[in-house]
Amino acid sequence: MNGRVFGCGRFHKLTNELNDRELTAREEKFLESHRHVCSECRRYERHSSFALNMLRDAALEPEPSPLFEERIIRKLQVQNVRLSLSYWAPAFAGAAIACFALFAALQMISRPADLKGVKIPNAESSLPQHSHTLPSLNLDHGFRIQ
Amino acid sequence: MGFSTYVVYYVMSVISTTMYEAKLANGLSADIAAQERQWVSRCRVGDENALGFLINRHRNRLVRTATNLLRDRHEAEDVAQEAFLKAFREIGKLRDDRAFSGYLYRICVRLCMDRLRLKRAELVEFDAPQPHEGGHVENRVVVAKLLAQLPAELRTTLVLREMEQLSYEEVAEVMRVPIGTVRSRLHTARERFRKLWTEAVGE
Repeated sequence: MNGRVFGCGRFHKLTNELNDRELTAREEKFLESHRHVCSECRRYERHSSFALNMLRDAALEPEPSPLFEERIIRKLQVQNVRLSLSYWAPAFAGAAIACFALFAALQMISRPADLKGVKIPNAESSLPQHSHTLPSLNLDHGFRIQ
Repeated sequence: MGFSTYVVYYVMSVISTTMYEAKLANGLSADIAAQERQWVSRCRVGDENALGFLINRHRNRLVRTATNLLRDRHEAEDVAQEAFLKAFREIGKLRDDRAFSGYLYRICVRLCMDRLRLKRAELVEFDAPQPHEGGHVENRVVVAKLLAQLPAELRTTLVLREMEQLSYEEVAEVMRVPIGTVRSRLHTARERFRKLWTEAVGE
């Protein structure tokens, strides 16, 4: 008999379950009787089993490369270094900034007179420059005695 | 009298041998599990020998599964290495040392699924496999092309069950889904694979 008949859905379901569990005698009997009457389902079953066998046959069994373990250990070491670097990076950055600030402060303290144009209260550089020579009193000017 | 004694003796010896072998097998697997637990705990403190032992123990299985899922040996090795690195990085979070092998396998499968999703997203146009008849290598190529057309979840379920021969429970555990979901996904995956195969062989 050709074409689809009643029970094809059940046949498909049971054909699929046949791969994973043992069917009951009743289910086996149903499959057997349906197989006789439905050519579509016969074809379906044949294709299913062929496709699945082909899939199972295509399973690969590759051998990992000989350097597999070495590579992982090396990557692990690199990863550990990176992790420790990223852990210490903020501390290093903070220390670098502090060093720079300290250096700048020391520079400012040690050479205050070099800062031209910057007014620092009570600083020596901001005071007017006085000559240490006393003003000369020219008494002769305008009071010359004839 | 003599014959029946011999038969009884023979049956007894067979039973005792079987029991001894079963006990030995159980003992061996228990030994291996205990050994692995020790290696995992040593690994936590950064012992490189322990790392080497764990890598040697699990690499074949991981590379094989990843190759079957991705159908690319080099990519599979990359993924397996990534899985090891991730597992070792997060080994401190592992509550039970006995769970290491399952944990590692799960990471590997998840990484493969991520790659499959990315690949599928990239797969804008796909050449339908040509009708073919034959050889083992050609079959593998066709299978790879057919599998590439399945969504990552269906493909992973199908490969884990049909190629890796995992049970429903194991597939459910690895993919973190209920057994019912595995059942339905497997049904759908087989159905779609069959349809694709029928189209490919031109029947």
